[in-house]
Amino acid sequence: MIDNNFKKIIKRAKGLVLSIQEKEQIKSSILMHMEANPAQIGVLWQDASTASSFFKWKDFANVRYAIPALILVFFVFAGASTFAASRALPGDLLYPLKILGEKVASNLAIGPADKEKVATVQAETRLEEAETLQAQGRLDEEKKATLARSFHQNVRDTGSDEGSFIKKLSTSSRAMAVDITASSSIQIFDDTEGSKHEEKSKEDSHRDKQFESEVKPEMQVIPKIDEVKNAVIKKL
Amino acid sequence: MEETKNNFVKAYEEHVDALYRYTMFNVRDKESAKDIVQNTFTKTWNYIAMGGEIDNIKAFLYKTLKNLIIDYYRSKKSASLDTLMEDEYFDPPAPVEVSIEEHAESLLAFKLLDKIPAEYKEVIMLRCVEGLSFKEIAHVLSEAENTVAVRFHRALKKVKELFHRKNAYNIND
Repeated sequence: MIDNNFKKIIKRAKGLVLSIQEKEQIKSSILMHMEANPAQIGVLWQDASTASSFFKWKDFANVRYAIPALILVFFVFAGASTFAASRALPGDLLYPLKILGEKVASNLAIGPADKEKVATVQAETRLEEAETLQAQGRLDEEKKATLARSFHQNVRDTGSDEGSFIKKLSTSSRAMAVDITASSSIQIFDDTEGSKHEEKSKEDSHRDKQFESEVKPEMQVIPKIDEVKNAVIKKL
Repeated sequence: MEETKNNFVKAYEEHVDALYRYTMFNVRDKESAKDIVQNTFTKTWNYIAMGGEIDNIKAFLYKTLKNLIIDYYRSKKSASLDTLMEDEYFDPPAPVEVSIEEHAESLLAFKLLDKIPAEYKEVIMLRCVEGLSFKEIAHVLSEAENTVAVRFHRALKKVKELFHRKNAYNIND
């Protein structure tokens, strides 16, 4: 009864409409306005039935969407950067990011066993990087030295000595480990022993100069044996 | 551009009566209602002409109309709202196509809807008379969709209570 009465009220309320003449009159005014103010671009709209709820750029202006969108963009960017960095090699732009990530992983490792595991993986990663660089023909002495330094550090972090660590590696990795550590040894030798030799040669040269300036002139004063001999023979 | 224009004219023909009805329900003056409806369409066209995007033309038109009705009330500050709501102002002549009886019944229906408390009247009008979805009403009233739905259900409950208590709205077919 109540519902029916309410429906009747609603139905009758809907009966309040404009006459055809009134509608046409308003329409012609609107059309004149449209002619005077033409649309610059062909903008269309969608009816409610076909309206897309998909994200639109203007929604970005709404703070309700902007903050989650920015967080999403940040995570996507961070994820993409981390993924790209994980494949970076020495000399690449993102390689420092990879090393930084490894340092963070080392610091986050809890307990000696965990730390050793992380260091082992990182040491093996250095060798893999060296192998990849070699395959690409990009493994120069500078990169070898960089890799070797990291490798030494990683091996030290595992708590085992380098010899026994290398022995545990696969054949190809072992070869690469020997290669980069050998070159680094030369590099270290160049850096330390080489400088010692240089100092020694400097000392030698100084000594030679001293000899030339101080001892040699005195030696010239000493008569030669043949001259002494001849003088004795003449006297006799 | 021609397609935009055609779509706009189509939207006019589709929604003009409902917009007029909603305006009449609020301003109770036929000439003012017609002006407001016309302004609603010209303002909407201006927005489109400037390159604005509209997802739902119906909701957009109602939102524009609602703002114009508020402007109308502001401009009529000197005349109190109560005066505007008085019945003698709400006496538009019947269109030629509609019988005098039908028109009178429509006006009576509006008067009956006025008995519903103000906070529920608008949502009942938009939902039941104009047929807007909760989402569209939420857009027009700048409220959350959930708030509108809750208000509508409370409004229906109130209407039922009102009808039951007064039993004064018996309308014969």
